Order: sequence, then C-alpha cells, then structure tokens
Amino acid sequence: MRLTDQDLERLAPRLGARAEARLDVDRVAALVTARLANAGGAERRRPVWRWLAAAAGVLLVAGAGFLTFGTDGTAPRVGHPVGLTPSLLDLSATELRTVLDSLDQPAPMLVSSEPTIDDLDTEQLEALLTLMEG
Amino acid sequence: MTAPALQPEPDDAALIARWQAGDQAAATELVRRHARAVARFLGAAGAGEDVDDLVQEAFFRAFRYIDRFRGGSTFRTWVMTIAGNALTDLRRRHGRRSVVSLGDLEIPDAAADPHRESVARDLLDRVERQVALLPPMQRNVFLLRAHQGLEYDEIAVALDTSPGAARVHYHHAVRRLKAVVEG
Repeated sequence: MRLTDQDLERLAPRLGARAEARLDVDRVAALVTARLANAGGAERRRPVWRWLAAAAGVLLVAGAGFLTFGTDGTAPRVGHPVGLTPSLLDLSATELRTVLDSLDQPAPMLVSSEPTIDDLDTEQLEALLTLMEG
Repeated sequence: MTAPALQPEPDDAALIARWQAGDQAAATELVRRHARAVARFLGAAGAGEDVDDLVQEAFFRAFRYIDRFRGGSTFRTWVMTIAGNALTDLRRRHGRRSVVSLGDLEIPDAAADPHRESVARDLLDRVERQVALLPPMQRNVFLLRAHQGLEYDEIAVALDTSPGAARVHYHHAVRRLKAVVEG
C-alpha cells in the first residue's frame, strides 16, 4: 500500500476520536478538583517570600558586618574575621543544622497581616536597598 | 427594554489567574474546555483504556505546577505535552507496550463502499498502532503537527526543543510510519 505524506496528514486528525467520545468530562473534572483539594492546591511559589527571605539573609550578614567593622572602617580584630563567625563557631553541629533549617522556613511575619515588600512605598524601598548595599 | 449584554467567556489566561487566586470553579471550567481534546490526543497516541486516568493525571499535574506554564504555547498544548509525558511514564512503570483497541478507530468516510471502508479501516488501524510505538518525542511531535495542526515554532516551545529539531523528529516519524504501513 502506497502512503503519501498527505495521506498521513489526512488520516492523523481522525485518530483518537473514540477515546474523545468515551470521556466523561464532568467526572474527570470532579476527580481533578478533588485531588487538587486533597493535595492542598497548586504548588504555588511565593516569589516575594523567597525574595524577602533572601533579603533577610543579606541584611543579617550586612548587619553583622556593620557591627564587626563599626562605622570607622577599622579592620576586625584578629581571630574574628567575620562578624558572626565567633558565635557560629560556638554552635554544635545539631545547633548549626537547626539554624540552617530555620533559614529555609518562611518568616512568620510573612504569613501574617504584617506589611510585606508590596506595602512599602518608594522611599521605604530605597531605604531598604541602601541599607542592603551598605 | 434592552436585553442584558452577554458576558464574554473568560479566556484561559483569565481562568488560570482565577484558579491561582483560589477559585476551584475556574479549574473545573478549564478541564471541561480542554479535556476532550486531550483525550483525543491520548487516544491517538495509543493510550487505550488508560485515557481517562491519563487525562485526569495530566490536568492534575498542570494545575499543581501551573507556575511553570509560561504562556509560550497554549494551555491546551501544554496539557497535551504533560499528557504525553504521563503516558510515557505509565508505559515505563508497567513495562508494557501500548494497546490499541479496534474500538478506538474511527471509520473514515469511505463513501459507503465496503471494500474502500475495509481498506481505510485497516489503514487507520496500522497507522494508530505505529503512532503508539513511535519514540515519545517523535510521537508527540507527529501528533502535535499532524493531529493538532501546530507549527514547528509552537511545537518547539511546547516540547522544549528547537523548531529544526521538531522538523527532524516529524520527518523521522513520517518516514517510519510510511515504511511500516507500506511494508
């Protein structure tokens, strides 16, 4: 049997018609929404939360650096090259893991009715950025 | 008195936004709008008796990971590619070939000529069996092109490949189908 490209293209749209006719759309829709409800809804990413978590981390480091160096720009004392290093070095492995785990969690204020990044006006945003940039 | 103006149906993007805002009815509407096309796509790909489950799985995955939908293709095309992947996953899990039911075959218009009808039925049977046996990428490209009428640019976006690669996959699929059917 000789089959041309055009024959195939003509045949292709006819494939699967019975499967379409058999489908119970309402049943499928009900099952999908039920599964989604059980699964807790869409796996929606929270870009603002993540951004704020990252910003909080940067602020933490910047703040620690500020405390260490002070405002006069003098070098840190020998043995304490980075602001948070002494306290982190004092932690056990378990305590370090707890700290790291806590950094992965969204900050409680972000799920409350406290103001978020979206609530900041231009001046407040600029102040935040200035603080982050040092 | 004038008749109230009919509200235009929301497009897919509006329904997706409503779903993301927590409106479950929007998800139901999207399923109703596109499920038949997805079922037809899966039927053409040889999903057989698994079509219902796979349609459900495809929409579930689509809504669950809706943030990954960038709008480069239509929502329907995106769900079809998810459905194609779900079919591939199912076959891998069960280690089985596709099963094509003769009941899935649509009888083409053969002008009421019993002989022509028989030949056409046989041809559809063979094509559908072979489509189901194509490598997943070739199968998806072939169906999106020949079954859904998409351009290579759209196929490339949907399948995360290049238009040139999509064209090559289509060429291989057609060559393979013709060789088997003609053989």
